[in-house]
Amino acid sequence: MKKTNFLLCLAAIAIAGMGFIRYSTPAATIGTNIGNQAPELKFKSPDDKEFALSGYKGKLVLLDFWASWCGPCRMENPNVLAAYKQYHNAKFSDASGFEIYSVSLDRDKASWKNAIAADKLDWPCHVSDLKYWQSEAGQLYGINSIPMNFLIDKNGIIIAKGLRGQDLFNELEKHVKKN
Amino acid sequence: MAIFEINGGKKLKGELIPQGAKNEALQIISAVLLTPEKVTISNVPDIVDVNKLIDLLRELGVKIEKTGSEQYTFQADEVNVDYLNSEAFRKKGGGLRGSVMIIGPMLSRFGKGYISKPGGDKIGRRRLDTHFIGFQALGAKFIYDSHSEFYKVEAKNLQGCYMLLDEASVTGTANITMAAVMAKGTTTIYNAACEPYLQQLCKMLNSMGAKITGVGSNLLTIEGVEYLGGCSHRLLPDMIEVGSFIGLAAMTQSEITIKNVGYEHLGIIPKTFERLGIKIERRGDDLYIPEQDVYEIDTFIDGSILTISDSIWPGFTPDLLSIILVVATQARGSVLIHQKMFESRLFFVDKLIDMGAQIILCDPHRATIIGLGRKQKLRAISMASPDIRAGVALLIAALSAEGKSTIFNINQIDRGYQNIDGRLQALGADIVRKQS
Repeated sequence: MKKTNFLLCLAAIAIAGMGFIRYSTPAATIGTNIGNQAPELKFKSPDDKEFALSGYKGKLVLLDFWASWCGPCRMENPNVLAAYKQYHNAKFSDASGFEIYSVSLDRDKASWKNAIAADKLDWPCHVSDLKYWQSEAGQLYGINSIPMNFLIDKNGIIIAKGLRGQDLFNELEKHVKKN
Repeated sequence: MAIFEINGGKKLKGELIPQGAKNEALQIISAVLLTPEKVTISNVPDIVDVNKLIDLLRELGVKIEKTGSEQYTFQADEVNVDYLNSEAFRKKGGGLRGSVMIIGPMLSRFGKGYISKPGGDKIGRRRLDTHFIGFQALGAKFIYDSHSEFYKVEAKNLQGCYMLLDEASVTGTANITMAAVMAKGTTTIYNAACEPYLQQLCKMLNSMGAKITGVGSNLLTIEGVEYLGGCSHRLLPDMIEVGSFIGLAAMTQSEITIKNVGYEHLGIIPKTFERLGIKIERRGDDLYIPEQDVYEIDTFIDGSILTISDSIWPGFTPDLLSIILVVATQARGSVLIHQKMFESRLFFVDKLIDMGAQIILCDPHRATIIGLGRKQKLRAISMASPDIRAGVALLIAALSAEGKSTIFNINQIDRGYQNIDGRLQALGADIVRKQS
């Protein structure tokens, strides 16, 4: 009886160990579904500064697809801005900060810059290859409808998407450090 | 009535840009009814079926602005729901298959959706049961007014539920999804259609604020939301056009580049044409079809005759079987075409037989093609186009045939293909539109 218990115990440890090995090295597939590793992006801002999505590792990142010519996106912008203001300096339980990585599907640099200024989108990362719907970042993320956004965790994993209006606040609030 | 006169037998050369997808357009345009905010849709094909649906929305009170070539802005903030009861609606809706797609959004936002018995292709009966069973599952009442031939669904509150669709109907899934996005609670649709245009619709709805997961699978989960906002959406290139152009190039021994095809959304289409021996080269998002004297049909591994049949996505689309069939008439080798999903779509083969093709029509669903292997050209004839897909297949046959062909009833072709004559002329085709 004792021997059986010992064997069972050993088996349990072995199984747990295997599970640990499997889950301790998460190899999330790269994709655009929730739970996937967000595909890397590296594009330039209006003043030719290059921004990599992976540069924000460790932080919560809102990857936001929009365009100056997209009315509904412009209507959504105040909401995104309010979220940025409220959470940019917040303390999170599972990330070291909150940033926005804005990808524009613009084709005209001037209107893109004007829209950033007009809507007061004053976070640093605004990128575009000015290819309109053929935007490489957009193609990579299968974007054919905007506004569209993806919330990415500190490890680069997509944890939510399509957050509009209050949903964006509700989702971010979940990650705020509670006392 | 307009006709095409075609002097065939010429090689074509150049680039073709596929139009926006018709089947996606009908769903996406209907979805603008779900929000009072502005929705901008680009890459909208200028074809009869789509324009008719846009007209119908205008009559319903949707504000529509053409904001560019192939781009429209819609705003459904003052919809005239009473229009559904009018005689004008009964007449307009009856002439258009796509009008069935407004039921889901109307039911979702205004609590009622009507449709007179829909029109469309003469390719066998297309049932709408899946749509209405789905609406009923969500709590809508279904009324069929046999006197006015109106199908009506009405509901004060839609309630999310689990449903298993009796068939993975694309339009059915789209319609039910649009009805469910603002229902109370969660709706789960199993055996949902999963093809790219439905994925596009789900992505658009998500962009508007809907909560749909499982997109691309046959299990959709839709968490109801209270409100949807506007968005900007771009339609995918029409995969049926892409496939038709591959067939056109092979059949007329032409060198053609098809631009911006949206390759990752084409599924099995390029492979299926390759099985007929057609060379296709992918160049970025373009497809390059080189000039080919002959192409030889593959056999199965055991050497038996190849069968190409249609099935729901990710299988081969029924809309391209007629193109495959025509292209096979000049291939080296034999193939069995098995049209499983619709009856009477193969009857146009009698025209190809008149043109000199070697085809055995086995029954309403199957035809065996014995390729001529270019030993002789097809002969030009006069023919009428029975439906939209056969129409283009016959057009391709005529372009490859020796001499002058006439195609009547070309409004069937215009229903699905935008300015097809103009685009073919640009490649060097001798095709003229005339009034008979």
